[in-house]
Amino acid sequence: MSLDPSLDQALRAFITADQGGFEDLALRLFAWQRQHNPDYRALCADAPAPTRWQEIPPVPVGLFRDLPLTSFPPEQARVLFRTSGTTVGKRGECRALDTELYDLGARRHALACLGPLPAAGVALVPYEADSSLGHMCQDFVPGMPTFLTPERGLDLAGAWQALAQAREPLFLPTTAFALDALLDEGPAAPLPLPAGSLVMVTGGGKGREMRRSEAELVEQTEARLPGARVVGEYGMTELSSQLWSERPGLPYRPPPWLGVQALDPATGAPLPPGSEGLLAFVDLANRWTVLAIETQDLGVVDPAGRVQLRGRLSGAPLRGCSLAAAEALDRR
Amino acid sequence: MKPPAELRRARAVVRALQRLGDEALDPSLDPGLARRCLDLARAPLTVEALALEASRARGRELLSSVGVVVAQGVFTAPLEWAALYATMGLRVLLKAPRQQAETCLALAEAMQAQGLPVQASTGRDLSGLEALVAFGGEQTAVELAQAWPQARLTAFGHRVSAAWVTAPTEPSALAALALALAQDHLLYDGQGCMAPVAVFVEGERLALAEALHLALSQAPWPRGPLDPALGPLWRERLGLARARGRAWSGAQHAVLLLPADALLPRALPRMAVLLPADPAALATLPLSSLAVQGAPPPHQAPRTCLPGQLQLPPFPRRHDGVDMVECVLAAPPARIA
Repeated sequence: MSLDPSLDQALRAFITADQGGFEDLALRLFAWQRQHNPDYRALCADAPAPTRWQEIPPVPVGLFRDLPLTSFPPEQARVLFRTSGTTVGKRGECRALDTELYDLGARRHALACLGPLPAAGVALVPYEADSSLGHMCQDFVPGMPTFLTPERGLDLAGAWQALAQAREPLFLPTTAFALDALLDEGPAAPLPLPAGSLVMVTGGGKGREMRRSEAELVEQTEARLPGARVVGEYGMTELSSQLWSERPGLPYRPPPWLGVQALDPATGAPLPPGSEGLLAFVDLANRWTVLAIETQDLGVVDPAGRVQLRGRLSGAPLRGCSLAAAEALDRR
Repeated sequence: MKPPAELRRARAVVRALQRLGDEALDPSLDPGLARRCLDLARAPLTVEALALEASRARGRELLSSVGVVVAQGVFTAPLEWAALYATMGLRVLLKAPRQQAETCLALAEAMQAQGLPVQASTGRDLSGLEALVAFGGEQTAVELAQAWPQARLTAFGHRVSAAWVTAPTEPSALAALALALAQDHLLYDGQGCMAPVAVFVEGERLALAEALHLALSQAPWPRGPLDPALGPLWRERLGLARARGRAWSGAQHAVLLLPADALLPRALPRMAVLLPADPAALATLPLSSLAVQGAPPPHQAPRTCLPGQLQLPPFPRRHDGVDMVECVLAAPPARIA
């Protein structure tokens, strides 16, 4: 199964060399996916034909828990990424035939935002076969060990030891939660890392309580690991592209093949630029599933197309004979 | 001859309920809908019904005070508890939810104006109360019992409701059933443990779905905007139905046809979910009430009623199977309903 060869080639050319126009490619990919993806076709059945990329109907990320959403027969999938599933029991699944565009795009945009990546690393991200984050990090620095495993959890002592042994610039990809835990341990004195080292912080606490705010996390990382630059990465299993920030908390920069807009949470309608809303993406690297995704993250897209994250849409109150008694116990 | 104390107090309670005004309404609902819900909730709380129910405690050892930990959600929920316990002569403290305190505060003020010892607070001090009636999960019940060991605790866990119907083939019967189901979905905007999370249908679902869509479109019920926080889940459910079943979407409502394995134990405002009649799926729900028309399912609920009555519980009643009077009698240990 492959794309229309000319579209396939055009997507690759755009992602690797900026050749072509984003909107034209987005509309062509949408038309192809609607034809080959029965779930997406059903979801778009009542939607008018888009004439701009912003009009391409986005799929709520939650539907990846319930539908295959593949633009090929799902049983032919050779790649399976799963969401972490930390907030609800059922995990979302994203299937693909390959990761070619994913890998090309991830490397190119990381290079554009960060410069050359270190050749060595110490990871605090999961490497399970179904982790897209682990896949990306291992692609960036092949052979990099991880100190976060399902069997042992976070091996903080091992991570500190590996950091102490660094003799060349290091890449340290970590979730915010793992970094928070890392800073709770290790030597009290600063541990200088070789110049050019990068700490990549991604994700929040995944619903777990963190001891430090984002700003404290960055400040203390810079103080404990001098010589390393701390950058932010925003990505999700349902997207094939990532956004990078020069520093967690600052705006995130999408690649040219990723359109971003903010939607009205209530209606799903696009909001004027500069408004805070639900972030929705049109990702040309999402070749095998659906290119348009509606997230549950809030943000503002600035005139330059950069994204300021504003956290997750607060969950609606549980309905039903409810949980108010918890309030009676709260902070007694 | 002086009337019995229960009768005198019941009259005062009903006067208080009748004087509740817009200040008691849930501001998250359309005011017209909220007024309608308030009228329907206080309708069964008559002088006769309250006095008769309260008189059941005569000759039994009654506690003197009760705290009702009120849930956020259905704003009229504390009415029946406060009305009954005030009629029984108890001192009542309504622990109001911080995000939705209006009704409790207005209710207490109206009761006090009639000389009844009903108070409301968003504070967390439940000391000195002999009984507690609380809504929450099992863990919360355990924690409440630990925090206030002196009080007799009755805790109600999370519940949902559903309907189990046989789709009529005769058009007028179909329209009548659709109208009744529409009412069940529209009252309180689908909040609360009596809102149907699903309608299990024996027979032809398609015709019932279309009739329900029509009934929801035409029902002269005021309805407010959708809570923005529910928007993503609303679109997700709608999308799932488009991919795996059928969906009808109106300006302020939706009707979904889904397979039974797509059952979600959570009601969304004005979204009706029609599933095939599947006893196994029904059995997974922690039921509060079940509306039944036609052949009943093998699985029963603490309360069974007709479609259209789900959100209109009678008074007196057993709340999720628990006798409301017994919650304030001196006796047995804590329990969780």
